[in-house]
Amino acid sequence: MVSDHYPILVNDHEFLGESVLDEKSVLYFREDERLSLKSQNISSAMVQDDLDALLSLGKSKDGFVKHKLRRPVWLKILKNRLSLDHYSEQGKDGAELAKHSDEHQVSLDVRRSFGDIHDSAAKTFLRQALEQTVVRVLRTFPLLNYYQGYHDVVAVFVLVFMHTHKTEDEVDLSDSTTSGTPSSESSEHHETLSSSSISTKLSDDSVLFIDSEQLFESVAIFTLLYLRDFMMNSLTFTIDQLALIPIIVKKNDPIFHKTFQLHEIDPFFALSSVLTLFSHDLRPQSNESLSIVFQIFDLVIASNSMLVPLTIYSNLLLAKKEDLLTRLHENLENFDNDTDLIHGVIQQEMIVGSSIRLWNEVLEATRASADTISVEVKKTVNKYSVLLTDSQTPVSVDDTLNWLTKEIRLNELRLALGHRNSSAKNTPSKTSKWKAMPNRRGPFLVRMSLIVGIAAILLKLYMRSFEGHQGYHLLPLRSCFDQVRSLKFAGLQLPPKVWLDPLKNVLKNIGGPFNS
Amino acid sequence: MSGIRTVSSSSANVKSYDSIMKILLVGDSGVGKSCLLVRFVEDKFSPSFITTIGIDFKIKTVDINGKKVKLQLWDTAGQERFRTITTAYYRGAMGIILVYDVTDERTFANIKQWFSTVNQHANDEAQLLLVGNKSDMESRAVSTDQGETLAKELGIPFVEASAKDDTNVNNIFFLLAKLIQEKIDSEKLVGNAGRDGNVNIGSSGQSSKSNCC
Repeated sequence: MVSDHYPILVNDHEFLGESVLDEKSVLYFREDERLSLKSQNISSAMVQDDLDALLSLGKSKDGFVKHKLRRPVWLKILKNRLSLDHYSEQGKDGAELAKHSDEHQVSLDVRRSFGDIHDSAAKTFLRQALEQTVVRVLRTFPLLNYYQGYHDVVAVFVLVFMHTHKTEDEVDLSDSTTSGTPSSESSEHHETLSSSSISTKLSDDSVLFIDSEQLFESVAIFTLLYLRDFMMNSLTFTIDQLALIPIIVKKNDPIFHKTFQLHEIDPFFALSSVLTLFSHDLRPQSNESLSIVFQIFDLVIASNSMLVPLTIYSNLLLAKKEDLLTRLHENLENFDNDTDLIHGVIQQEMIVGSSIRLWNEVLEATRASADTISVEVKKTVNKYSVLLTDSQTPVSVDDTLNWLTKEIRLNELRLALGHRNSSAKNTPSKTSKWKAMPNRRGPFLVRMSLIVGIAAILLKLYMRSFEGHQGYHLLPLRSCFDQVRSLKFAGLQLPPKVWLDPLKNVLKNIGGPFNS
Repeated sequence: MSGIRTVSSSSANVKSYDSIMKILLVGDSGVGKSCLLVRFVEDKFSPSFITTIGIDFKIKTVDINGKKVKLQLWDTAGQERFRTITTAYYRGAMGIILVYDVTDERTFANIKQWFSTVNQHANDEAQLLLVGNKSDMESRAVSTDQGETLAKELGIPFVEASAKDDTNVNNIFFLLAKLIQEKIDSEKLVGNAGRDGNVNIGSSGQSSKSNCC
């Protein structure tokens, strides 16, 4: 089933050898006409090697329109930003690379993927392609850690890179493979196949193909450029990114921001949307919602920015403001605490309750919004975050690996110092000051010894405070240090009055919970 | 136990008239937490159910001893990296279901870790329940006896269930809800603090505060 020759990648342009002009249904519908015209523009931009034109087409309504165009266009844009060099050869032909420790989790998640594909042969095939791709990326770049949700992202690539051979039209698996355009892809079967294709025959004699090399290359580049922050061994940098959502919301609507206590409550409700670029939440719902997912990926790739998902989430919150407020007031008594309330209200309202029309509006708003929070981004995320390095493309693979290594080091430092950005009361400026510390190259030992000194003083104060504090018996030393680190002493000045809330620290503990 | 638990119990907010119960499902990745939940709430089962990323929640209203009880069900991601986030949602949970997969010994062995995480982050009075899922499977690796023994050791009730063939799934939630209701009725579960903050939206409504320095 899996072909084992992988000689040369097919020239991107060959994909476009067949014109999209002859789509039949389009003539009768203005919308289709528009899409057809857009497809032509994309094709000719490809032929003319006009990258700028491609990028602006990807950033406009309907993105790259359909998978037949997405495949070569994504690959072209991504390869233009980053060349994998010899890494694209690794793991080829099933060459042995050392196993990655997260592979068990990968297989657990792959087993649960493509549940919406009805044809069982197709499902097996897609899962196989998904697992192979994820595992190969992890083995090729073993510094990356797998997260649940990464498989959802890669699954989107698998769907885009899958195409079918049939005497007539493209096979309709679950109606989920077409991307918003109703045009019949009669020219699809002429798409040139490379010998690195893997394929499977379905019960109706049609054949499914995926060029596994192109799939791997696109996924690997996308991962290194845009998903690094999520692939540390903790969620720290993911949480940093999430913190930008309240900032964007506040800029647009401070009252809403305040009502929903976004200055206090961590936006964990946005976790799955951001980690998976909305593929986790939108994919299972309908074909139309799936087409939104592809457009979101188009937008991220075309605008070269992982700020896109964060902006989309914020815009979605703002677009649903009225409904959210109503639901909030209906539910005031229904939740144990504010974190639950806000999370519950937003989760119930947001994804499930959003129509395609609303999504299109949100995408439009996102496309139109200029990057107005660059200052805040700098303050909020680490120096090598994907949100800051994106401006430096094109880069070499070694550059991205260098960033990755630095991020891993910063992440470890953050974990070791136990800084928790999730601390709801941290303002961006406060956190940035604190976070800037490990970023700097300064004499770190000096700072560490100061920290130890201050910690000792605070510990003493803290022990003394037990006398007046019933209920708080001996807290483990660790949580005492937790409190010490939450102080604003990066600037080496003690606040006049120190507020230590042991409960909050314990609850918000970002360290390993199994340490007890 | 430690002071942590003493402290966190003060955030329990169960009122005797409250008809809402916050219930949490925890356990390793792939044991079937979401499947149990979907079976219970929507009476559906899909063998390729979607992964939980972060936290999900659902609501179902049930009838317990003639009382309408709204069950607020919080489903958590199993992968270790999400634990730092999910533990933030243990607060105020009245029932916590620890799930393992009877065909996977590793998930059973990890129950003790889950138990200690729960003890660390949840209210003292939260009612726990051990569930061995996938009891329909022939490739069983953990016997019912082993499950019972562990439950006894931990001092919590135990149910074997299958989300796939709908064995005991309702029992899990009804048993838990009843046990919680009994605790409420005997006032064991009545916390000493009220609701923390959400009555007055917009105020700095976090848990009760006191200065110590």
